[in-house]
Amino acid sequence: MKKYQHKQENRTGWVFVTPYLFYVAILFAVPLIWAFWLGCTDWNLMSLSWHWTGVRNLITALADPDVHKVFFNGLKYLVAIVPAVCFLSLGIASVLHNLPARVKGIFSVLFFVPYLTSGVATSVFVRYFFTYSSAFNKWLRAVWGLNIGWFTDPHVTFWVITGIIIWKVSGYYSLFIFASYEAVAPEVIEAAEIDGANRLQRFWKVIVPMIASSMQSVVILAVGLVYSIFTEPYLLTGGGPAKSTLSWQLLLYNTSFVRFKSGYGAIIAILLALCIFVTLRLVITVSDRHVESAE
Amino acid sequence: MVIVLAGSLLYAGGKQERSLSSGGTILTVDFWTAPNQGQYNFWDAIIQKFNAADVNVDGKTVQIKAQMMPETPSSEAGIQNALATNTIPALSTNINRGFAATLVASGRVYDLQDDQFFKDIVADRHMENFIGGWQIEKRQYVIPIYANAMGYHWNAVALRELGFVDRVPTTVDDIKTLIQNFQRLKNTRMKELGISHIFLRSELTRPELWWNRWYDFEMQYEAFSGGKGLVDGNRLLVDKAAAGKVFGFLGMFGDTIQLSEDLTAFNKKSPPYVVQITAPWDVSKYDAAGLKYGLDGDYVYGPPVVLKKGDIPYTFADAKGLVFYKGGKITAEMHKGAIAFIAWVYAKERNAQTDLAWLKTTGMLPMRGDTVDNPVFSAYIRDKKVLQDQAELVAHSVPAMANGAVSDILTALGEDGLCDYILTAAKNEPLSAPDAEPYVEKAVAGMKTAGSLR
Repeated sequence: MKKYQHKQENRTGWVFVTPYLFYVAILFAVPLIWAFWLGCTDWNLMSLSWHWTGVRNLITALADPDVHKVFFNGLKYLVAIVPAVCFLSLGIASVLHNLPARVKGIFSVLFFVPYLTSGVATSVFVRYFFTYSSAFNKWLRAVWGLNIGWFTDPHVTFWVITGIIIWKVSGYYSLFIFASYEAVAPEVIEAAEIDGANRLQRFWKVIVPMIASSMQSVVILAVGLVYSIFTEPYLLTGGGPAKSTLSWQLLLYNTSFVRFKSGYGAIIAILLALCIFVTLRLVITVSDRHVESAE
Repeated sequence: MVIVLAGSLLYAGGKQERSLSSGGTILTVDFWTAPNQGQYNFWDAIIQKFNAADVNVDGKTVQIKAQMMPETPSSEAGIQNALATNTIPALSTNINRGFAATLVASGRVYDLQDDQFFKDIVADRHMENFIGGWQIEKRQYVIPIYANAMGYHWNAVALRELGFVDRVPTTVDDIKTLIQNFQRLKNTRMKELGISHIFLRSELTRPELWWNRWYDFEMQYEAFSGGKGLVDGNRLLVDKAAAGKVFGFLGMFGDTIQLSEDLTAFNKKSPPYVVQITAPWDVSKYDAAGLKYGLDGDYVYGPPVVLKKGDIPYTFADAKGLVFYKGGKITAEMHKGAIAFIAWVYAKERNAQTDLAWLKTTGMLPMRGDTVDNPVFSAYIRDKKVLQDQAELVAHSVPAMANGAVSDILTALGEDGLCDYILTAAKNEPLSAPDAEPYVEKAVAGMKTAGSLR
């Protein structure tokens, strides 16, 4: 009887799990296996014939200066974007929380607008804003004697791209934190106030630990975002100057769809997936500890 | 139910023959135009006439079905995707010679060299003198549609002040004179006009923007080398002496080159520069800005600079054409239908009108040898001096190199030589260009490695 019940439970379990297994198989396993296969060939997706190259693409990629460059650029973007996005999102959430209730909704939408703005439109605007004859540059030259190479100086260009991305997502991510912020019970804050905690202490020692899980989500989203940077360098810099803004996705695009080395591109995509996996694993492990201790 | 629905959709999508209500059979041929509304409108108008003409192939009426090619995110990537998924049309436009070389190497386009309809089109559009430049691996695969011959956009007001009243500078000596005059007037008349630099070309220091080497390096290289081309198949043809002269020519501008990007400068009546590189597609922009064309106006178009008077100003052409795909779902019958369509479009009795309609709709010059002399065109461009000046260059224009590694080769040209050279030269006074030889040697070696060239 027990055996029959166990079998019945198993069957029910499989019925519930089957749609997800199909989902994983179709959207994850099949493309992944196909990418591995493609990465072991020299196929350009167009030719009627292709050759099996085994691990040659992988060995080439590991020694490729462009892959090294995007790896380190990825780290640079991580260091610049993730903390900035987290602090800015937290700041915006804090501002929103302290606004009068009747305008909170309007301001929440306003901070969300940059995320809805097309990356193409933003890039075109930025390009014209920083063009040599723009009013802004004329003012910089006339008043401050500054002639900045916005798209020719590698350091400046990196920060232009980084600035656009931070501006674009901070408002959106702040809404996650804002939702948690609003859920913090006023009694908890009042209790801290009665215990003598000042405004700053209440914020860092009471509110931030209580919204730590939202902060963790924002960090994870920001890490994912860093590895998907494409539109801004594609439209504004082509990855330059001196490859300072070259991103994983841009290298992947150029390799697969400009140079038509799709097999090699598949290997770069796999290396990128590996990087994302390792980075996220590290971020989750470290942040889990902080979230647990905060809670 | 889903499977039945999907199956019936696939069946309907894959079936290319339908019965006419009158009893005949239709052969549907898919055709992709450039992802551009103007070009789509041009082809759509032609297709309506062709479909109404009831052209028959093997007893079936050919009907062309057109759509804009997908840009995912580029049109080449859209074609690549269609080839991979067997959804490629029988023919498409918008193919440059570099991408055509990739398609040829992949065995996905038809060789047209021995086809009578191709020979007829070449003869009827008077393309004999330049069609050789379109060969890939010594065979013909592309029917050239248009050519944007690159040249210089001169600030006519500045030119007059610098002593070029009735002609644009055309030789290296002319440029030297222009630079000397500019230096002499730099702090007086040029300053009054707000002109700070001679040459606007920020892309010269940007190797990652590899396609710009077509316009700044290759345009001058073709003019200095007599239209030799840089690469043929997997052979590096580059003439080092001519390449060195191009480096030296660009370096000669010294600190009068503006290396910061200035997108809107030439949209104004009084730009702060004397010259920039231009293409015919910019004309509509200057028309919209209300600029007057001509030496007595605001701006004027000039050919690439030649070494000495009388040399032919060969130039780079941003040119595209039409190819016929093979493999996948394309049957021999569909291919015949596609040929029947193009043979009809460019038939002797209508090809000039077709190309005139193209010029009127897109503003781009058709790739044919008689745009200057043929009365069909001269009647239209008589009052359009800018088109006349550009049309003269079409027959001397060289299309992109036929090599799938064009982006790697041109990136190496910038990265390993040209861009560093310009950065060095831009620190100097004009007319004191540094020695280009080591930079050229390095660039050539880089191009060879990047493209695995012989």
